[in-house]
Amino acid sequence: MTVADKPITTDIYGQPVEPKPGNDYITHSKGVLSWALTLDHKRIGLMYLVAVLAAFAIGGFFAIFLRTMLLFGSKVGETRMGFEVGAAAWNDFYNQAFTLHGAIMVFMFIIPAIPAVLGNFALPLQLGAKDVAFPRLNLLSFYCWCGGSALLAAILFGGILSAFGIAMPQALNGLDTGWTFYTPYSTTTQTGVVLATLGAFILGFSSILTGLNFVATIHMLKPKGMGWFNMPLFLWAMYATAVIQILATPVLAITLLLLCAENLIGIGVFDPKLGGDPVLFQHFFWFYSHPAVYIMILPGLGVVSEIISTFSRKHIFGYKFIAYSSVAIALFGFIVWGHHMFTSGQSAMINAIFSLLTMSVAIPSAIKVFNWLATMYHGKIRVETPMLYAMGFIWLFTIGGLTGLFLAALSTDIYFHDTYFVVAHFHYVMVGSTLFAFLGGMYYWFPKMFGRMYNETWGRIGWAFCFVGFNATFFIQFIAGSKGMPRRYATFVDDFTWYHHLSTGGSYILTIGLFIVLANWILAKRGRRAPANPWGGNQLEWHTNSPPPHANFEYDPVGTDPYHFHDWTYDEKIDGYVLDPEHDPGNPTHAPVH
Amino acid sequence: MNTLLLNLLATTDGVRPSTTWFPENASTDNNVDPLFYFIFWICAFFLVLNAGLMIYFAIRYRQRNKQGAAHGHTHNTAMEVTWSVIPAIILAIIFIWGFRGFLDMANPPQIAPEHEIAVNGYQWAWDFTYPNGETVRGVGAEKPALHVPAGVPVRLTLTSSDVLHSVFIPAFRVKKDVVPGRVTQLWFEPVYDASRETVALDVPDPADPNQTVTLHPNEYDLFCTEYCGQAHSLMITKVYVYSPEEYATWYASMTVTPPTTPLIELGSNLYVQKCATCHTIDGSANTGPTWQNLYGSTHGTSAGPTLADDAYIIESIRNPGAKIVDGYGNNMSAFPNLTDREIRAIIEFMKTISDNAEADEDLTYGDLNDDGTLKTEGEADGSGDDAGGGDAPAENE
Repeated sequence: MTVADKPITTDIYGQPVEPKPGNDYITHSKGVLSWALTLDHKRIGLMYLVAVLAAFAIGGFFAIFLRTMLLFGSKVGETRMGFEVGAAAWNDFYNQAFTLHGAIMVFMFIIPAIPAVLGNFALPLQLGAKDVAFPRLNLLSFYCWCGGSALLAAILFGGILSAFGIAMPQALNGLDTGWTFYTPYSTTTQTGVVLATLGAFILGFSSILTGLNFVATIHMLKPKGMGWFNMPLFLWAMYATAVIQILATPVLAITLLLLCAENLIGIGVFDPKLGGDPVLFQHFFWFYSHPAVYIMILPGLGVVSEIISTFSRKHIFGYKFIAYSSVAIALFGFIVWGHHMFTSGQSAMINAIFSLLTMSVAIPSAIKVFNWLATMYHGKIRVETPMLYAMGFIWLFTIGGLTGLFLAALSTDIYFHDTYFVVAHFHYVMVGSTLFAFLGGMYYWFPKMFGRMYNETWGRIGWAFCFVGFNATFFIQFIAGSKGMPRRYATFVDDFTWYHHLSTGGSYILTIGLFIVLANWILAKRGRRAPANPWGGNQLEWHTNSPPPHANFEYDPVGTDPYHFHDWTYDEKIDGYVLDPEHDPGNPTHAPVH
Repeated sequence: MNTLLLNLLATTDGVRPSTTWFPENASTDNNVDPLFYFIFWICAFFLVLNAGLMIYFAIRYRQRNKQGAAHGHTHNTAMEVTWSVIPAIILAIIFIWGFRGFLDMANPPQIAPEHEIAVNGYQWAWDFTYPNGETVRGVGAEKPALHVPAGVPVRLTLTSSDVLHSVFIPAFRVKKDVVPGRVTQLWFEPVYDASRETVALDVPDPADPNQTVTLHPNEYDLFCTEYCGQAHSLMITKVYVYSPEEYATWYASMTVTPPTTPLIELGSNLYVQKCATCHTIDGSANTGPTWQNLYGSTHGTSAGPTLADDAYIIESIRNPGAKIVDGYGNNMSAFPNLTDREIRAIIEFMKTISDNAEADEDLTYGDLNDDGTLKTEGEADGSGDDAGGGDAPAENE
């Protein structure tokens, strides 16, 4: 047995630590209840991880299901997959599949993914804190997620049973409105809109509580030596995200309650037959759901800022511009919702204002990308799995962001609205960018979370499959859309056949890639013990053991410049970075040594 | 608008063929493609710049030794300002260009009323009603299509009977949502190109209802692009663009139904065009009750047990909410544009698929009066040649 094989990990000074049961947060206490009732932000983060990955698997299943249907979408009247293409059952299956794919991915996966998993795990650690400000609210937020998701899952299984001919009450009869719940279709459909909106309503509280907690934590629990401008940029991104969660999500809650009232008692706010206006619903809905797009992407921008700087072994470039651009994106995000209604017949003046405001979001986004590139310039770039995901993110976010220009400009948006061009655009931003940031962040913090190293080779192979698969799936959809393919179509005219074949092929490659990632994470259970600081980062989460003890730190750490990496020296024996105790101002027993 | 670029990129005499990014363009005004290509090259430039620098840096500055950290500048205000201001200028250009193009697309020129077509969307087809009060009938089993003349601006006024829809004609680069409770509009000026592939459409000859004449329009797709429920993806139809001369023939033929058309055939076509998305004829349930064995049978309804006879069926089409069959919702739209004669044809068709009734297979369109009643012997002789001429329903005026 060599040293590296021994079940021994090391602390930040490179000194061996015998991993005794109870030493770290995972082994701190035992039993189901010790997890279910835990107030430890790290454990709640892990529970969220399992939960959102389950949601991602279900949402992904529907994605593959509908992409497979679209292999045959031009064969109207023929029998494929056991159904007559274009007949009522085929259309119902497709409509329910894309609705559940969207609703599950948006409400149960993308919105909570980075804040609730990586945020919960890393945010208090980056602050050198013992936990979030309100640990009980944090646990409540998790159970709100579970409650809301249970309602959506009930509808989903009701829909599946109903597809097999078992009669279901309307409330459980699947969902076929699209995740946007547009009225008046959502008030006339025979599917479970009321229960689904209640589910989304409860999921919204999960989001609000997480946001509240993070704002309070960042304000109150910064350690000695850390001001606003030497916080890690991930915290700036999480702060901006939390502000949107707190301010925008209640509007969704009100909208969904109005929709329920419309469905149950016919109050007529949105129904033109009762004097309402269906476009009003769109305004209410997007007043939340456009800022929600930034809830999805801002945390990803934060993760990438951390990875780029740490893996370039160089101080982040333009710290203040990146920090302020997160806040700017959050603020601009509130005033651009009208660009979802350019074709609805709203006035030219309104359209012009929203078009101009929408364009403005491009500037802070561009600032971030240019600053990341400037950070890489003259760095010592370690091109390993987390960095590959960060670089993949830059590629996908650049395409996703730039194609937004076609949709912000009025005349081109009129043409592209509700076509596959839009589908491709938002998948590049939300799926490509956010998913890549999530996976990159998971790989980045994986050693800290689990105290084990994943397999680097398979990490890169999985990345390659995801990157190629994602681009193959969605780039072709830009062209399908600009050729005129409308979205949410269960069947289509022959002209679009080969675009769909290519896209479906890509989605299979992406699926293989995602399973490689999952297998790599699971098999890392037997991986090499991780050192305290495998990447040489100076953010405070690297100032404690991997995995961290229950209370996070042995002593209260002192905030320093998170991007000053020079005090850490590489130790080949542990394949990690160690700190000279002399340079650890926070350690009461070591400093000063001389 | 942007005349210079339009002239460079669009041809006014003929249809622009399809390209990698766009389908063919069959309208005179194109505010989409030129701006698209402008943004496209900006995107291509920045994508190559960003990705190129990223890959170059990752190779050029790759880590050779894990020891040590890199030194370098941590900020440079001049650079930050540069890469904020340059995008801002580009964005301003794109905004102004897009807005001016949009104004052009949003505001139809002053046009003659003949070319204003009322479009009504319902789940899951379109009705196109022309200034003569006639609503387009589908050809054969096809759904009603949009027929437009080349060379003049055409304005569509859009309404919906039920939920949101959206008219999207890629070849004209136009799209507009159809919102219940509102009237929206869009416009385009089609281009006819005889050198391109045309389709052959047989229509009744306005000069002689017993003859047909063949027209040769260009054919394009019309899609619904706002999700509207089960058969959203089947809410598609064709747009036919005619030369001005052929359009005149088509327009006149709208009011002509050949008197020799068998009633059952006309009813069957109307069923496929207007009814088949909700009613089956094979006994299976759909949004509405099946028509198999419906005629002449008695069903429980919201007004008690009701015999499905002529009066009931006419009422169900004119006022669908009057008697709701047990087990079904009040989901059906009224069909004011069906004439009494057409409803009579549908009834004859229903009889053919019911064991409870005997259809008269010899009846033709010419055997009916405007109110759908059978002509007596004397009337049948004298009024055959104006058949169909006077059945523009008053509802459309």
